[in-house]
Amino acid sequence: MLELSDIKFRYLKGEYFQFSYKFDLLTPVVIQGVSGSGKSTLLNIIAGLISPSSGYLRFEDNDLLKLSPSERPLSVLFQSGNLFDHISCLRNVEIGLNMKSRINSEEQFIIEEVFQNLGISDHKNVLPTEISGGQRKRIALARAIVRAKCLGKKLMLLDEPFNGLDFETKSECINLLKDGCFKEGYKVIIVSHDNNDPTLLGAKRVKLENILK
Amino acid sequence: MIKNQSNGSKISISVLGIGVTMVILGASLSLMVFLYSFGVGNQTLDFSQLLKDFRVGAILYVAGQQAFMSCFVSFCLAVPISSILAKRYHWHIFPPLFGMLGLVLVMPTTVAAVGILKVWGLNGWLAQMFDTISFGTVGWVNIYGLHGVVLAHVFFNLPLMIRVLTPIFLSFPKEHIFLSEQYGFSRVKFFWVLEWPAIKRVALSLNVLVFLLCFTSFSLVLMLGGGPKVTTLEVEIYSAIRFDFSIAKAAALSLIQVAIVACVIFILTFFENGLSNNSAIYLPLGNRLNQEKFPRAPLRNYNKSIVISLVKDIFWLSPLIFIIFLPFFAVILSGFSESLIKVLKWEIFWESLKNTILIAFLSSSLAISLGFLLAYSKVILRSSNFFGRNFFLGLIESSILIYLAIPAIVLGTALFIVLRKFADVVALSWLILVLSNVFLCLPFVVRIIEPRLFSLESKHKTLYKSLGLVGAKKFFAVTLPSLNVELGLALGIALAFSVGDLSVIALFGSNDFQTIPWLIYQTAGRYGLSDANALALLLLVVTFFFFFCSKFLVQKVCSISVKI
Repeated sequence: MLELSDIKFRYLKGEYFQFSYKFDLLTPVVIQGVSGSGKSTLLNIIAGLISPSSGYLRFEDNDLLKLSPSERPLSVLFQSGNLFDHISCLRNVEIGLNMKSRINSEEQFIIEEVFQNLGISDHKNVLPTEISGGQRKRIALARAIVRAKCLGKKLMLLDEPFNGLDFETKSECINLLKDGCFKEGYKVIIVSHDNNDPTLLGAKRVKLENILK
Repeated sequence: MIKNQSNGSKISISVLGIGVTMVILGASLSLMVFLYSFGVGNQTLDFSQLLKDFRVGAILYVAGQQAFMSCFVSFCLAVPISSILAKRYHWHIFPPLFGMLGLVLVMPTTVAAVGILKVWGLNGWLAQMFDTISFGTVGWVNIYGLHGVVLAHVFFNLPLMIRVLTPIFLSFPKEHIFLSEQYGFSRVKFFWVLEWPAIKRVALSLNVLVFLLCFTSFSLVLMLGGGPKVTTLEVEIYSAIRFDFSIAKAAALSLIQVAIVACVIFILTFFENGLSNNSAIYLPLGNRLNQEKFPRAPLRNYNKSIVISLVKDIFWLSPLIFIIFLPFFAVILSGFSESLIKVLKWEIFWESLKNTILIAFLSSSLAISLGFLLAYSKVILRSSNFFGRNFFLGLIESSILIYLAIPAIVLGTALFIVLRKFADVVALSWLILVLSNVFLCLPFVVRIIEPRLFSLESKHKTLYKSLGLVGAKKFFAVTLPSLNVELGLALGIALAFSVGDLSVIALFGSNDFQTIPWLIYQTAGRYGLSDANALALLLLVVTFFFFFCSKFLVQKVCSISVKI
């Protein structure tokens, strides 16, 4: 369960948002709304990347507002800029694990497994700039799954994960999400503007206007 | 017909540009050959004996030591300061502060030296404060010497580096900042994962440029070096002519300086596309950064107290206050004294001001005209595809950067030796001054104009053709008005640099021919520090007046040109 209660946030430019909602998260959730309505703002607040002025935010037993972004039990996939371009895809995944410079054998095994399942084993040692947009999304997804498996970051926030992908790549990514995340029991919140996504993903549709107060 | 006309004017401009390049490079090469035959060829001693006699090893060691220290200190301070400025750029105080750092870069060196003395000198503000705190039990460090020179160089290099590095730190995608927060990066990890990979691309060029500027430094070393213990080749060349009357020594040292600097530039060009291709280095003087363009999100510190984080940041920013802002304000505050009225009554002040302004206007007009021609030639060559294009581009590039290889004092020395056989050198000193200023300003002018000119030409290429806009009509109706911001900035920088230069004038300055920087140096040397402070303030006002007014002047010219 993820509970938002009277979360208030104001941008420097003056835009104001207030959110209140309870997500049961028994099934994946797709949040929908028009551009600029505050979908990404909501995800960034849940992730701790922007701080609300007041309110209450609870995930399972954790009061999220008291935790720093790195302490929150979640991973975020942004629309773009998910990978550091100057380090290899494998290092991008490893760097998301923790601040240790060395990865232990168990973590190594999990990474290998996830890379194999997502079909990106060949791209481990290449730079993100050398692969396609769809492959980059998979690497970012691999990182989120590895974080969930190794660090217990079971909540996944995906901000427009299929943006800019062609139909085939999008279908592949949806299948990967279903197999890699939904079946494993991870809690997933997806922000999307595409009305077909909830049906394609088999997810619950939540309109942002129901969350905004 | 129109196509032929357009091609014709383009060919004439590029031929003219290449011609000017040939003249600059040819003349420079001839001067160097002349210097060789005069300084080394005429000597009966062998070259190694010559090096020993002129203490070249010792001079190079001292010059290299101060340049390395200046560079090292500046870079070590610039990285954390730029990072903090980027992190807190949303604070209202930082954008104007960033703009002010740009002003420091156009400050005349003599004025900066006066400000540094006022704050860090034996009777300076800090010495007085220290004396009060320690009840006079501990003495203050003498500013003259290695630390004075390093401090003065840091005064100029730190803003330059900050203005290059801050936009790089601000340009990180906000998602990368968010990721680093999500992964809980420590400050050190953040530096190694995000900041260092971004700045290492410019670190070498930036440091080599700063090293070269310090290694070939003249006026600051002359004013704050405190004698032969801290020197550079340029100061030694000046001493050889002015005090030892040894033109052979000056020629030999000039040649050594040219050889060393040319080697460094060549090696750098070989390894890293050269200094010239890194336009960031040449454009740190522009207007304040556009925050919309650099949308870096602020980092928060969840685990640390906001107060501790703030105190840490202020600690890192404190060098800006002590090294840059205090001397800057010291010039203004100490200039307002009785001496200000006294100085304004001096006949020599008005005479020097007239010379300074005339030379600055001549130099900057010539620098802008030549810079525009060379930039336009480069743009035409870049968009053409004829054989040998890169060779000519390289030639133009070399002529633009000639001041790095042949600094003003070397140029002045060479021209002094050549011209003294044919004419009265002192009477022609203004011409040598103008020439050296033009070479000093040329790289900045070209770097500012070229990118805009290139985008203008490539963007509107087909539109020009369809409208039949060619030659002077195109120049006055489109090119000139579109370049008004860049031309204003280039003119402002050229004027500011020309007004404040104290290099060639140190060789040719006399009672009959003076400029304000030379007058400041002379007055400070005669222990007239109060008068020097007043003169420094006046020079600062003149410099900033020209720097800011040039923008409006160019705008006015451009608005008239549209109507032509």
